[in-house]
Amino acid sequence: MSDSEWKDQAEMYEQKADGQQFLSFLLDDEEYGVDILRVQELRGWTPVTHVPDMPSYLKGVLNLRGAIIPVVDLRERFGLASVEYGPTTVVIVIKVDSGTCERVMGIIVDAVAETYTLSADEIQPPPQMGGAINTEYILGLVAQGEKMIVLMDIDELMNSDELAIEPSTGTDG
Amino acid sequence: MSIDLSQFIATFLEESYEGLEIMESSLLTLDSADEETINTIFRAAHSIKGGAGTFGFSEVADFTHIVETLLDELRSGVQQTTPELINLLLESVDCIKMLLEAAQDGPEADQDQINQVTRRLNSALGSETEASSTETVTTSQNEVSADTGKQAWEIDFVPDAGLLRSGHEPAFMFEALADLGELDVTAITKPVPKITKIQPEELYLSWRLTLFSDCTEDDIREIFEWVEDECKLIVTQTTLASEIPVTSAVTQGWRVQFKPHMSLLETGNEPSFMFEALAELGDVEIGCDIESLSDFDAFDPEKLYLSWTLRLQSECLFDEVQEVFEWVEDECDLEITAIEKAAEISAPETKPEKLAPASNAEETSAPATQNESVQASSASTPAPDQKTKPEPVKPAASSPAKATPKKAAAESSSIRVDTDKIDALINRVGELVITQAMLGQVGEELAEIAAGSEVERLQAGLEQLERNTRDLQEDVMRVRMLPISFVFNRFPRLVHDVSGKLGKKVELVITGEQTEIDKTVMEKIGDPMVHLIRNSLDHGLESPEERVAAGKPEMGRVELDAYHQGGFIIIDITDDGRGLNTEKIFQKALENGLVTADQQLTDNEINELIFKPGFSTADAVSDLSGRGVGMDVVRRNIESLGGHVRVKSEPGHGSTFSVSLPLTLAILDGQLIRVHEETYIIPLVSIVETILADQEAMSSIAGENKLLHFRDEYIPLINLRSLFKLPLDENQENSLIAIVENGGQKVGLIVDELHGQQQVVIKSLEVNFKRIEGFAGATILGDGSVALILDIAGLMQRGLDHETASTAKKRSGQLRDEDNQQGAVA
Repeated sequence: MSDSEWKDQAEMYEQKADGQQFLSFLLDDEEYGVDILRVQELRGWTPVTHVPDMPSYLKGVLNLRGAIIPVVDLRERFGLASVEYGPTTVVIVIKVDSGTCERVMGIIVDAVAETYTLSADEIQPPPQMGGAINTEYILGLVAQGEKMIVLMDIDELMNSDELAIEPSTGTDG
Repeated sequence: MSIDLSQFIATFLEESYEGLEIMESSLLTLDSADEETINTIFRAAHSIKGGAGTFGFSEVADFTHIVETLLDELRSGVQQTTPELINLLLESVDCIKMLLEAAQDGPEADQDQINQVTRRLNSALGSETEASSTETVTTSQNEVSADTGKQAWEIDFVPDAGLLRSGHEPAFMFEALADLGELDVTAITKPVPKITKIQPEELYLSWRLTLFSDCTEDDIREIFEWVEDECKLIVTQTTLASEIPVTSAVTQGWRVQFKPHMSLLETGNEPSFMFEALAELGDVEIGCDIESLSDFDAFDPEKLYLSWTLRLQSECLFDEVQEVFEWVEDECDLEITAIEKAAEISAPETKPEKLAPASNAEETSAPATQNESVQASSASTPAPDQKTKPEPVKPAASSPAKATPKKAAAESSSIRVDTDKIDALINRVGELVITQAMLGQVGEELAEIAAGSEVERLQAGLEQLERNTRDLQEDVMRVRMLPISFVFNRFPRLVHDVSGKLGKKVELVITGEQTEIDKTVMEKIGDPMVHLIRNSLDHGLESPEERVAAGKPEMGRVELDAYHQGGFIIIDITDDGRGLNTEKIFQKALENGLVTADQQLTDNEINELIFKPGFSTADAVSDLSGRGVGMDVVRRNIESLGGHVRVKSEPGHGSTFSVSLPLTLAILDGQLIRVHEETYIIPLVSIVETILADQEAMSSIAGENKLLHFRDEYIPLINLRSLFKLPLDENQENSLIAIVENGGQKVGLIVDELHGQQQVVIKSLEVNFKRIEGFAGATILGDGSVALILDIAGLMQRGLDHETASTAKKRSGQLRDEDNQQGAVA
C-alpha cells in the first residue's frame, strides 16, 4: 500500500470509529503502544543476519519474503537489560514513514499484549522526563485502569540515530 | 465524440524525442545531398509538428513548421545543404527539444535562443515562405501540399438510401473536400432504379472521389463526420507511395558478402553449414570468389582461401541473417546489405493512370522551378514522400539514414512496458530462483538419507526445475537489455560539436552498437562515456597541422567499439592521436604530490595516474576538459557500477580507454565466504586469487599482520574479523586470503572459510534500511537467510589506513628495485 493510500485509509478509519486503534506490546513488564495501522504483520523470532559494525540494538537484517528489512531490539534501543529470545519473543513488522519513502522494519519486543481503541482526548501529552526513552519518541500516555501505556511515535523512533537515511550522495541509486 | 487526448501526450512526447534523435543523427550524416536522408528528417519533423498541433503545443508546432519549411526547400532542391545550414538545423533540433520539455512541465524554454534561431531560420528561407510561417498549422499544410502535390486520396463514399432524409447534402461535403485540394468526383449511378420506381426522398447514388491533397485521413473523415453512421466510407491513399508502399521498407532479400579470415576452419567453423542455415531463411544464390586462392605449392589445407557473395531471397530480418554468422563474427569480414524490391525491378509497376493525375497536380500547383526536381525524385525513388501517411510516421520504421539493414531490424514488433513491471517480474523470478535453490538443497539432503526410484524421480525433476529457472531468469534479464546504440547515438552529435569548437577534423567510427546492455547500466554510463570521448577529442587528437606534421592523415579518427566478453560488456574508445605523455603525467603528478620523485613507476602505472583525483595535464583549462575533475569521476562512476576502466597508450599512435561493465546490475557471480558466524559474498570479478598464506608470508606493522608478500609485491591485508569488530581467531596458523582488486589496487582479505560460488540476485539494503559503507547490498541464500555482499571499493576505503597502504607501496618499490638490480647484475 502506498503512503497516500495508507493515509486515506487511516483517516477513513478514524472517522468511522471515532478513535485510533493501537497495538500494545510488552518490554520489561511495561506496556507500549503503536498505531495499529502501522503494523504490517507479526512474526516469531528467527535468527537474523548480523550487520557488522552497527550499534548492538540493531540486530541485523531479515528476509521478509524477498525484501530485506532491518530488525531493531527495542529493549536494547531503550537501554533496558537484554534477555534471551524465547518462544514468545515477537518481531513486529512496521511501516515507517521516512519522509521520502516508506520503509519496512522489524522491532523485537517481549510479547504482544492487546489492542485498544482510543479517542484523542484519552491520550495525554508526554511529561518531560529523563531516561533512556527520549520524549521525542513518545506520542502520548494513556491510562487504562491501573496500567499506563506509552504510545510510541514510530516515525520519530525508527528514523533516529543509526536508522536515519543518510543524505544521498547522488553518485549511485 | 470527445476523446481525452491527454492520455496520448506521453506517447506523443516519447515519439517526438525519438523523432528528434532521428533528425539529429540523420542531419549528421547529411553531408552529401542525400534525398532519402532529407526525407527522413522531414518526416520526423512533420510528425512532431502534426502531433504538437493536435495536442495544442502551438509553440512547438509553429517552430517546427518553420524548420519543416526549410527542410522542404532542401528536399526540393531550392536550397543546397551547407554545413551552416546543417548546424542551424541541429540548433533547431535543440530548440524543439527545449520546447517539448517546456511543454512537459520541464524548465521554461530559453525564449531568446528560440527567437534567435527562428530569425536565422526565417532568413535562411525565402521571403515568400517567411510569410507563411506565421500562419496556422492547418493552412500551412495546404500550402505544403500545393508545393509538392504528389499526394492523393481515393474516397469511396456509399451513403445509405436515407441520407437525404436526415438533412445531409453530399454536394456540401464535396465542396468542403474541394477546399482541401483538387477534387475529382465520379458518381456511380448503377443502383439507380427505373424512373417509375424512384422514391424522390431516397438517395441511390454513390461516389468515388479522388482528392489531390496533402491533408491527413482525419481531415477527410472530419468532413464526413456527421454522416459516418449513415454511409460506407473508405479512404485510401493512392499516391506513387501507396502503389509500392511497403517495398521500400520491407526488404526483398539480402546480399551477404562473407569474407572469412584464413583461420576460420581452424576454429572448427564450416561455411557450408552456415549457407545451409541461410537456405532455411529463403532461396540462396551462392557466388564463390577464388581470387585469393594460393598456388598449389603454397596451399595450406587448414587455411581458407575462399570468400563468398550470397544472395538471399527472403523477407527475413537483418538480425536473422546476422545470427547465422554469429559464431564467426570475429573471424570474418561480413557485409550484409539489403536488396530492395525497387532496386530489383527496374521500373516500378505503377499503373500509368495513377501516375498521370499525380504529375498533373504537380504541373498545376508546383512552381515551375521545382517541377523538374520533383518529377525526377518521384521517378527515381519509389516512395519519396510518406509524410502524409494517415498514421503518424513511426520513427523506428523510418531511419534509413543508417545502413539499410537496420531499417528492417527496427521493424521487429515491440511493445512499450513500464520498467516497474519488468523489475517486479525480475524480482519475482529472483524469488523463484531462491525457492528453487532451497528445494534443490532439500532434494540433495533427502537423497543422502533415502534411496529409491521416487527420490531419483524427484531429483530429476528438481534438476529440470533448476534448468528452467535459470533459463527463465536469463530470459527475464534480457527483457531489460537494450542495444548500446541508445548511448552511442548521441556521440556523433557530440563529436560534431566538439570537433567544430576545437577546430579539429574528426571521423567517428562506431561498431558493435547492437551489443546489448542492461537499461540501468546504460542510463549511468552515458556521462562517463561523454567525458572519455571529449577527452579523446581534446587531449588525444592533435590539431590538423600537428597531424600533418607527424605524417598522419589530417582527419583524426575516434573509434567506439562495444562487445561482450564473459559477463561483461567492453566499450573501447580508441583515438589515433598523440597518446599519453608519460613524462608530462609523471611531472604533473609530482607537482600535485600524487607521487614522489624517487618512485619508480612503469608506463602503465603512470598512465593510471590520470585517474587520480585532482589531475589534469591540459596546458590550458579549456571549456571542454582539463578542469581536473574528470578522470577520477569517470573511474568512480564506472566502478560504482561494478566495472573497470583501463587505459592503454602508445606514444604517437594514440590511446585506448577500455571500459568494462557488468551486463546487469541485478545479479552477480559471487564467492561465498564465511567470517565468524556469518556468510558474506565477494563479487567474483574482484577476486584475483585466493591463497592460503602462512605467517612467514605476512609481515607486520605495529604488531599486526598487515602486509602480504605475494609474488613481486606487498599487498596490504584487511582482516575482515577485525574490520567487522568480530572476535579474533587467535589460534590460527595459516590465513585464508582472498586477494581482491579494485581501481588497480590489490588488497588481501583475511577470511575464515571459502564456500561455493553462486550467482546471486542483488537486493538493495537501501529500500528498507540505508546504505552501509563496505556493502554493495545483500542477497537471499538458498536456505532463505540473508548474506551481505561486500563492496570492495568501500571496504578498501574503510579498512585500509593510509600508513599501511604507503608502506605496502614503499616495500613493493624496494622489491622491484632489488629485482632491477639483480637483473642488472645478471
